[in-house]
Amino acid sequence: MEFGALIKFYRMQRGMTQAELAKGICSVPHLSKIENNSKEANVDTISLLLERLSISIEEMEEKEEQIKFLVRELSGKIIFYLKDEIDGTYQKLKNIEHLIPFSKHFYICELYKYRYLLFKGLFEEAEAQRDLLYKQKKNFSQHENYLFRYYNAIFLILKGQYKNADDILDTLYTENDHETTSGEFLYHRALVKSLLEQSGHAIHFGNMALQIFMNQHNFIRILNTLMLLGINYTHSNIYEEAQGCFQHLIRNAELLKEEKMLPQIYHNMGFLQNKMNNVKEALYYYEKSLELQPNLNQHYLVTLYSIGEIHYSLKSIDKARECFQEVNSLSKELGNKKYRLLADFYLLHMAIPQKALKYLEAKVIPYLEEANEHIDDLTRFYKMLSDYYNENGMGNNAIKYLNKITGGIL
Amino acid sequence: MKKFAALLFSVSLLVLFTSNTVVKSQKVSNDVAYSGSINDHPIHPPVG
Repeated sequence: MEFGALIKFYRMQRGMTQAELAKGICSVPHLSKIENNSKEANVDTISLLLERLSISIEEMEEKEEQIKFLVRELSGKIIFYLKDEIDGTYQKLKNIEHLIPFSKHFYICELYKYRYLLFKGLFEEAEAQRDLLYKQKKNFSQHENYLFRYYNAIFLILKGQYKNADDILDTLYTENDHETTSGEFLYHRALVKSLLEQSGHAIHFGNMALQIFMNQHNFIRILNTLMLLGINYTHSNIYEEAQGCFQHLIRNAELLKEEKMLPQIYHNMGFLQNKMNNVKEALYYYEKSLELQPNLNQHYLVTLYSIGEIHYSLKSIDKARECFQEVNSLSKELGNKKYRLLADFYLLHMAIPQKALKYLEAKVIPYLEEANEHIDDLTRFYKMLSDYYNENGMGNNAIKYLNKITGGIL
Repeated sequence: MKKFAALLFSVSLLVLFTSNTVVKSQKVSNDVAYSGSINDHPIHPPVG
């Protein structure tokens, strides 16, 4: 505990002058030095000063231990992803926050507060806390500096700035000579690699994280990591491994009362089956996912759109139309432009194909290009347009879209 | 015109064998080509 600052704080709070507090204990200049932390006072002097302020030194030391314990507890709840329990710990820390500025663990506390806000997805508060910490960063120890940069990377992931997040995580990993015992760090590395569509790296870090989580019996994070691995095995066409991950997830999510994950697992299993050309199985899993999604949210929209596409591919036009109409209205409600455009396109294509292709060219493709959609997704639409122009004898336009597919090598 | 058609055919073949996406030949009036990968999916696990 920083007793100098603590004494000054309580002296001022009680409206005492330095002379009043120091009387019979030490000189005023001595007290002044203690308060400014420029002089190390002996324990007896500190005790007497605190006693005059009606504060017990033992109690303060106890509080210091409590702060340390609560920070550790908070960290544990984050590592084990205990969303329902974390608020209790954070509240306990809040109850003694008036003492935190005097604690030796002040910066660590503030850093964990930042981490807690990120964990809870409270972006505005997290941003304010980040700015506050940024002003103090020159005072950080090496470990505190590491935590600050790591949490900034998490902040960037949440903001969707994956490349910047990846750069920070990569620097931290290199600084640690590629050695870390933190499953959480490796999980975030795998997650950001997955979001950057670098599946090989995602699998590499995901497996490392999984090993650590298994050693810790960190069950929720094991499920999260298996999901990541399933996704990236799917992207890498390693289908057997991907199926293994999703089947394991389906078996265990219920067991671990992680029912909220189930619709997402079913959705991803649907994606895998679709990639394997098992269209009917894909439809089965997507529909199962949709049944379990209670809210009309973004995930619901994505699953519904996927079902619409499958019906379309199976030429179940009425069912497809029904899906895309619902996607269209829900995407408007949720303010999701991408799915509104795509649903519009499909609905138009069912009615007037030629007009739909003009719409694709003028609205959908520019939007997808600007949003940096995956080239595999865009290729389908480029091909559609190049075929259209080719068949209508507009060679230059056809080549333009073929060029986009090949990256301009033609 | 024949030369141009031949060139376009070669270009199509080149695209067919260099693209890593399964590109199906189709007519405008046919169904939209389907790859099922335009979504924001798979759905990723939480950041935490």
